[in-house]
Amino acid sequence: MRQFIGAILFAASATLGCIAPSTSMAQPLRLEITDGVIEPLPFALPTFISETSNAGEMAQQISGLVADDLRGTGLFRQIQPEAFISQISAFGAPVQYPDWRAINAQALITGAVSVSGNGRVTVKFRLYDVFTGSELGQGLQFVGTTDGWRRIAHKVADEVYARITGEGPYFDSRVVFVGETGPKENRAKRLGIMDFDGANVQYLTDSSAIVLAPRFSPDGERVLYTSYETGFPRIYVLDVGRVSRRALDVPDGSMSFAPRFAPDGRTVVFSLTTGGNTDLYTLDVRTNARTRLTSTPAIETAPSYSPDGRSIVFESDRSGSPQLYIMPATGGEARRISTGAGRYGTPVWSPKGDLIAFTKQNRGRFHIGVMRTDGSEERLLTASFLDEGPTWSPNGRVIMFTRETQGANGAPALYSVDISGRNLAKVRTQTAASDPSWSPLQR
Amino acid sequence: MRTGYIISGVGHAGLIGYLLVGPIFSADPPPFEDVEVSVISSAEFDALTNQTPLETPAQITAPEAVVAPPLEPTPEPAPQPVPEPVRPQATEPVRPTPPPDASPDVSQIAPLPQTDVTDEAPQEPTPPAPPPEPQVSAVIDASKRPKARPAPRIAPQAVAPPPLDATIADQTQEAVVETNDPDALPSTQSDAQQATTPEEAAPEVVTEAEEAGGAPTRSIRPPARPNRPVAPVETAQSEVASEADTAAQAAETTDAAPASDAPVGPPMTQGERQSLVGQIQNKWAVPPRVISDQVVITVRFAVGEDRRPISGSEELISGSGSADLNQIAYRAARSAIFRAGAQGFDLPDDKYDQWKDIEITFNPSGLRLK
Repeated sequence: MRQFIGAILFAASATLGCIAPSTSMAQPLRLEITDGVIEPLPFALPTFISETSNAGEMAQQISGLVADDLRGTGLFRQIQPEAFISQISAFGAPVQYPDWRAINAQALITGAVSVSGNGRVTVKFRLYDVFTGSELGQGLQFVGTTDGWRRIAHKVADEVYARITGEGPYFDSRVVFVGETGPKENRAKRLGIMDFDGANVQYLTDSSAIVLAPRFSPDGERVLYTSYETGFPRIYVLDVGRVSRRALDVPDGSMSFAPRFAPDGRTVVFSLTTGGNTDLYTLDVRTNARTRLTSTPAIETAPSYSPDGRSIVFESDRSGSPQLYIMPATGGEARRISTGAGRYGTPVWSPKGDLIAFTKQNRGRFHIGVMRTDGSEERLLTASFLDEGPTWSPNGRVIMFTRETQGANGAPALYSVDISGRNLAKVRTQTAASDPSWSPLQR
Repeated sequence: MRTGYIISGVGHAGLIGYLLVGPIFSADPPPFEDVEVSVISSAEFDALTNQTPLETPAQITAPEAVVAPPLEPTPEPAPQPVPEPVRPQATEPVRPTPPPDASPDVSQIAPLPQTDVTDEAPQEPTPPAPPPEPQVSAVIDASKRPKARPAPRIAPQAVAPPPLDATIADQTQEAVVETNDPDALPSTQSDAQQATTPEEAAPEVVTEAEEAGGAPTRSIRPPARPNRPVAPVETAQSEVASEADTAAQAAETTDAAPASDAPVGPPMTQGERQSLVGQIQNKWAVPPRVISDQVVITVRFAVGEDRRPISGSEELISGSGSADLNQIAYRAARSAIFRAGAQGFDLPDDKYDQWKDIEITFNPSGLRLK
C-alpha cells in the first residue's frame, strides 16, 4: 500500500513538474474588467442589392425596415450611408473590412432582393463582424409574397438582432390591443391587431360594445377578451384567422373578466364574480370544466401563469390593499410577493420565467415595474400620470404598456420600454390605443 | 500546447510503467521493530510511581536499554571551550536548568557567544541591543529586576561552571585565590575577611523569591512569530508585492517557472494596469444577454511592440455561459480589445516584456440591470 501511494505521489509530482512549466511558459499580464459601457452598436447597412429590375423599391423598403427595427431597440446605431468608404456592388463581393473598420462599423449587413414574375420576393442577407473580419453566422434567404415584405424584413432584423445580442428575436410578432376613438366621455372601443411596430393594423371587432383586456393564446391564433355587449362583462374567445368567436361557458348572471390562457393553450384562468364575491377560476375550453382556485371574500383578479404552467400570479386585496400573490396553478395557499409601499396590480409573468411585470400606484403616480418571482429586486421602469397593463415581448426583453395622458384631451397610447428602463418609446398607432397584449413570435 | 500533452503523456506512461514493474526493483520491506508491552497491576504501578524497585524488572525498560547508547566516559573538560556566562542575560536562558535567580529572559535564544573571559570588572548590565520590548521587557518591572551576577568573580582561566546552587561567596573566594593578579588578591581577600563580601555578593544571593519585585507582574507575551522565509525575488518585484495578483505572479515565478519564462524588467505599476483596464473598458459594449446572464469570460491575446493587439492571437480561455453566449461575449470582448488598441494601447515601452501577453477576465458584474 505504501508503495502504491508512493508511486502515485511520484507520478503526480512528475506530471505536475512537467506540466507546470508549460502552463507558465509565458506569464501573461492578468487583468479583470468588471464594468463596460451600454452603448448602441454601430452597424452599416448598405441598401440591399436589387437583383431584378423590379425589386429596387422593395430593396429600399426592406433595407429601411431592417434598420428601423434594429435602431428601435436602442441597442444599435446606424452609420449613415454618406460615411461609407466602400460600396457593396454585389451580394457575394468580398468585403473590404478596413474600409468599414475605418468608419467604426462593428457590424455590416449586406443583402439582395429579387422579385419574380409571380409576385414572389426573395431576400437574402449576410452579417459580418467587421473587427474580426469574419462572417457572423451563415447567410440566410427568405421567400414570401410581395405583400408580406414587412414580415421578411422583420425576419432579417430578428436574425441580426439575435446573432449579435444573444437575445431571442421579437420583431416578427404582433400586438392585439383596444383601439379607442371619440370623445373621452364616450369612447368607442374595438379590438385591433397590428405588427409590433404599429403597422398592418386590422380590427377584429366593431365598436358597438366596450371591449377590454385582449390576451393572445400561446400559439397566437386565438384571442381572449372581455366584452360588455350583454351589459355585463363576459369573456369571449376569438379566432384571429377566421375572426369568429364564442363566449366562455360561465354561469348566467355572473360577471367574468381578466382572462388569460395557460401555457397549454387549453385552460383559461379568469375572474368570476358571483354573489358579490370575485374569485379565480379555470375553465377547460374543450370540456367547459370549471375549477375554483380561490375562495376568499377578497377581490382576486388579473391572473397570469408562469411559463411552466405550475404557478399563477394574481392580484388580491385580501390584505386590505391590492397586492401580488403567487399560488399553485391548481389553487391552494397563496404567497404574497409585493412588499413595497403602494398598490400593485396586473401582474404578468415573463416568458423567461424570471421576472414579473406589474403596475404600481404610489403617491399619486403610476409605474410599470418588474420584480423577481420572490418579490425581490423590484425595479420601477416608468412613472407617469397613468401607466398600466404591461405585456412582455416574446423574448422577455421589452415591455409594452398603456400610458394615458392627463386632462380633458387625454388619451391612451401604447409605449414600450426595455427591462433595463432604457429606450422608452411610443408605439405608432392610428388611433388612441390601450390594453396591449404581445403575441408569441410568428411562425 | 502539444508539448504539454506529450510531456503529460510521458508522465502518465511512466506512472503506469512504474506501477507495473516498480515492485520488481523495490527492496524487501524494511524490517520493523516489535515492541512488547505488558500490562502491569495497580500494585506494580504504585510501586513504579513511588520509585520502589520492582522485584522483576519491567519489560518496558528493555527498549530503553537497547536504544540508549552506552555512556561514554565523560571527557576531561577542556579549560577554554567552556562557555562561561559572562553576560547573564544572554547566556542564562540557554542553560539546561536556569538558576533560580536568573531573570526570566526568554527573548533571545541565541547560540552561546564565544566570549573572552577577562578579569576586568564588567560594566553595568545593559539591556540587549535589539529592543525586545514587545517580547520580554514589558513583562518585567525593570526597576525591580534583580541585578545580574557581577562578572569579576569569574576566574581568568575558564573553569567548569559552578553548581547552580553554589553560593557565590565561595566561588568568589576561590577565584580570588587562584588569580595571580597581585592587585586584586588583597583587595578581594580583605573584603571577604572584612565581611564585605556579603555586601558585594548580595545581588547574587538575593533570589527572585526573596525579591518580591523581581517576579513577573504578568504573563509573558508569546514571542513574535518569526518572519516567514521569503524566497529571494527581484527587487523590482518586491516593490509591488502588496498587490495580490502581482504577488501571486511573483510566487509563480519563484515556485514554478524557470527564470527564462518570467517577464523581465520592471513590472507594471498599479496605475499602468488601471490605465489599460480603462482603455479596454471604455470600448467594452456589453451585449444585454451577457449582462442579464452574467456571462464571465477570459480572453488572452498578444500585443506587438507597436502596442497594438496582434490579430489572430486572441483566444477564448474560458467562459461561464453556454457555448453560444460565450461566443457572443467573446465577440464583444474581442471587439473592445481591438477597438481600444487600434491606435496602440497606452503602455510603457520599456515594459514590453510585461504586457506582450495579456489575459483579461471580462466580468459584467458592474453592469447588472438596475
